[in-house]
Amino acid sequence: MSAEPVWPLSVRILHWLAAAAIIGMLALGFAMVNLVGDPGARFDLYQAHKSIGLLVLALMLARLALRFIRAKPAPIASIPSWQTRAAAAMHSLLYALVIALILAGYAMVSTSPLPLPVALPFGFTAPDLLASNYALSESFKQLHHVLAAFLALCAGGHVAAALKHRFIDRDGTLRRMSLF
Amino acid sequence: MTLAARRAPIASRLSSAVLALAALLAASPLTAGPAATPIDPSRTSIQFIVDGVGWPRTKGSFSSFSGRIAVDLKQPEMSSVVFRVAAKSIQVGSPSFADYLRGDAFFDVARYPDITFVSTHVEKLDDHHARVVGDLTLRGVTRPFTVEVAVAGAEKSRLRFRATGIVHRLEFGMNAGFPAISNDVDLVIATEAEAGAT
Repeated sequence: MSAEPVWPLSVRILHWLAAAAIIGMLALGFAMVNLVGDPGARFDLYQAHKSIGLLVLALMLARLALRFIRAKPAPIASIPSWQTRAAAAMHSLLYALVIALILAGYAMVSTSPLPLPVALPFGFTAPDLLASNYALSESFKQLHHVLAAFLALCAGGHVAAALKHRFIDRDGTLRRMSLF
Repeated sequence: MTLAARRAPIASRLSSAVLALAALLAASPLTAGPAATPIDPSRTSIQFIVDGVGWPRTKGSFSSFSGRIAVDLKQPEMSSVVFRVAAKSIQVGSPSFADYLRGDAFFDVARYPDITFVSTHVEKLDDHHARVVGDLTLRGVTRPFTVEVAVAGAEKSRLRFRATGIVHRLEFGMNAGFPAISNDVDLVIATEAEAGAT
């Protein structure tokens, strides 16, 4: 049992950090747009959403780097190779979706006619790289919303697959990513 | 408009002096018209409403202001009003949101601490309504501004006013966020004053 290969600890820690952040940000994004009516509270939530979004981008880039640096555990023998390939494709899609979602959010904010800096830790603010363009900003907003919905769908599939491996196949897939 | 545009920089530098002079004139017993009385801040509110795309209707207010009102019921055109609002006293339900609005993108309170209104013309519309035209100075830019005023008698010799008008913020160089955030800002001012001796 102890010889069973697992993901490197750094990969596992960042995976669960990203999972918590992404679920939290999807919920926050949905709530601040659809449920919060008070402009003051909404302003604060939007600002937090933007700042956390850029931190999640940094986290995703760190995870991407780790995936290239650290060895991936060998596939579990009992899992058909098509499933292993499907899982790898889904993982790539999840990375791409999260990064694209954040970039679309950044582009929406940066092209917005509202000059509102995104706060980063230690008093820094994110550079505002794109020229103000209201129509473009609205397009990026649409894209951000569509990508968020698609990510929620794919993340749901990712969780369902992990639970299937855990409770139906009863293999070690989920355990390889577990922190404990 | 060109006249107003040329006046603007002067007004920005001298807005305090102009306001003080106007207040003095309005209050002076030597000038024709009724005596001006200071507004009671506890009985006065200055609120605004702005619409945005994909954003809830934003309601805000200013909490620090002063003003004088002179009311002449017999000769309404002799009535006058002067208001000075501390721009930094803006309230929108969140300190960070208010701080953002105090910044240079919107009110730029460091450079333009005061928003002022000085009436130039008062016209009685009927027994309970008047139109007040005056000069509104915001971000150092002075433009004509008109409010419709509903007048109600609160108590004997005391009048209750509810003034409404639409500020076109772009006219005052407050362009940030347009068109995502509306050019039109609804302004609602409620106050009370003594009716002048008649």
